[in-house]
Amino acid sequence: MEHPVTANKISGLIYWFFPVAAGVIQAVFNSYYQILPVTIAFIDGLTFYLVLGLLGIAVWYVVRYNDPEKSAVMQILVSHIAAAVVFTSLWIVSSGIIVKILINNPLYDQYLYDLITERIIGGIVFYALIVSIYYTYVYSQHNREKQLRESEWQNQIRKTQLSALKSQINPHFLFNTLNSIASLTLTNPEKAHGMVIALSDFMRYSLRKQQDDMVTLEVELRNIGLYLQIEKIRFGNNLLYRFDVEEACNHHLIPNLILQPLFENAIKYGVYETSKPVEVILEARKFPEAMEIKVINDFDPESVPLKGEGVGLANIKDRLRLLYGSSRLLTIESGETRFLVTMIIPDIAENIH
Amino acid sequence: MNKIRTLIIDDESLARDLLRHYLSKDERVELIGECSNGFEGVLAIQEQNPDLVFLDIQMPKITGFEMLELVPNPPVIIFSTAYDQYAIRAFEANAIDYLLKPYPFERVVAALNKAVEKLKIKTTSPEIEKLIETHDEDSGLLNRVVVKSGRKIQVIPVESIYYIESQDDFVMIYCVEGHFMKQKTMKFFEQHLDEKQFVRIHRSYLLNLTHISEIQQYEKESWIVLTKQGAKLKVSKAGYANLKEKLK
Repeated sequence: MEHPVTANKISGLIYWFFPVAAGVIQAVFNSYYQILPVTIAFIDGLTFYLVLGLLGIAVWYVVRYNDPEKSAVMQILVSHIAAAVVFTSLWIVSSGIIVKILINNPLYDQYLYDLITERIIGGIVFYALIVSIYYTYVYSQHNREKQLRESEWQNQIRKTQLSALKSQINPHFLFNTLNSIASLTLTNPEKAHGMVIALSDFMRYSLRKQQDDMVTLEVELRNIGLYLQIEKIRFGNNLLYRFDVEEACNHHLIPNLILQPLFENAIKYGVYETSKPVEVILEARKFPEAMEIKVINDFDPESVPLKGEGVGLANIKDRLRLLYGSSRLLTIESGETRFLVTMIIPDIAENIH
Repeated sequence: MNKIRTLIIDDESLARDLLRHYLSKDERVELIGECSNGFEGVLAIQEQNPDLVFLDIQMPKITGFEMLELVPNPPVIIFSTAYDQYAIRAFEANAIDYLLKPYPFERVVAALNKAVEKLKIKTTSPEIEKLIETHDEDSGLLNRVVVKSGRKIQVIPVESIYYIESQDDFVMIYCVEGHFMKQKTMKFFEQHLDEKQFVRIHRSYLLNLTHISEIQQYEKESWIVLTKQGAKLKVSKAGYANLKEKLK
């Protein structure tokens, strides 16, 4: 954090206004009541308060290194008491020396000696005042940063979720499916009927689930099942799939639609790129404190992907990191003919709002 | 008038069913075959020489566009796809129409009308070939190149290309899989291969940096690159400067 006084010209001007004003007021008071001659009164007032202003700038560092969020209260208190003693003695001694150099007057020596107690008390009060102003500033800065971070965080979560959902209802999938339905209405109306219903359920889930963050694996897999059912009508026996889920995993919560891109990838790089049958397998195992999900698909080793893969996977990684606070929950292994994605879903999400 | 001898190339059987149904309702059309991927498509076009092809874009192994690159004198093309972002590219690939799935019968009739007009004056003008070439410039970096030798079609990942040699109006691609001719210019490959990986070392050569084994100077201002596979390629002065820049 930057020094609030030296950060910009305006804050510097405002800061210096106070010691100058205080110095002038004291000088006018001392002259008016004829406690000191006018020149001496002004030299005294301005010297003391300008030195106070200088020392006040240094107090900032005591405040900075005694952050109540990081240090113990006792430690802070002790350092401030020590700092107040140093501050007050430095203030009176150095100001006194300066004035004495400027005007060597026994009358002034007497004046300073008579009022020494008041000045010591004044020094401690000023120290406390300066410290409390600085702490107010630090606190408000902290708050602002916190708010900024929080809104940034929220934004990021929202963005990741949004893009996850965008990839969700893939327009090519939708239009190819509608084309298949158009075809089936002529050749096999009953199948067309089934496909319209599967597509409707699938879309309803995708649209409605924008609101909830977490769903059970069972519910998510039911939706994946709809998706696969639709793709299976399009690709026939070229698409085989199997879910192998431990009983304990069914009610485990997972971020909604997080598996969808994995199946889309499996189909895009597996089924779309080959004319041979491709199998997609999902395995879910329960471990203490987490669930492990594996999605495995074969692909044709001879096919060369048209464009690099990974956007969907990066997306999932981002979402898991935001929700669980770890970037190691998704691992990808690409073998010669098999692609394996392993996802760890911890039992408790860190940032579920 | 003779019937329009038509071929369907689409990987989805339901999509072929629908199109077949539509075409059966138009008397101008004679359906001569159906293919479920680009490999079959190339062979079918060469062997059966159709007048018109209904072509899908996204298919296993090679896309509809890549397939067209392998056909020297392509017939009239109507694209039939769910992808709307390729429309401009499709027209520049000499397509006469672009049908977005799902489309109604009327849309097919309109496309067939255009095909009839086109077939009356059918010759591929060199200007259009040019257009394909120039358009290619903004279609991004290549990840793979599709080539054909005899009846065999190869999909080559760009990493496995050693170097490309320019010949008159085509190039020869030397790669792990062998060497293949391709009807494209050197300029095209220079623009569409990652410049961090491929360097023009000579008027005639575009070299994959990962396959360099040695650079030798054999005369003043003239060098030779040895590739790991043992090929020796001349390097020009400008080419040497390029090479030095990239190897820094």
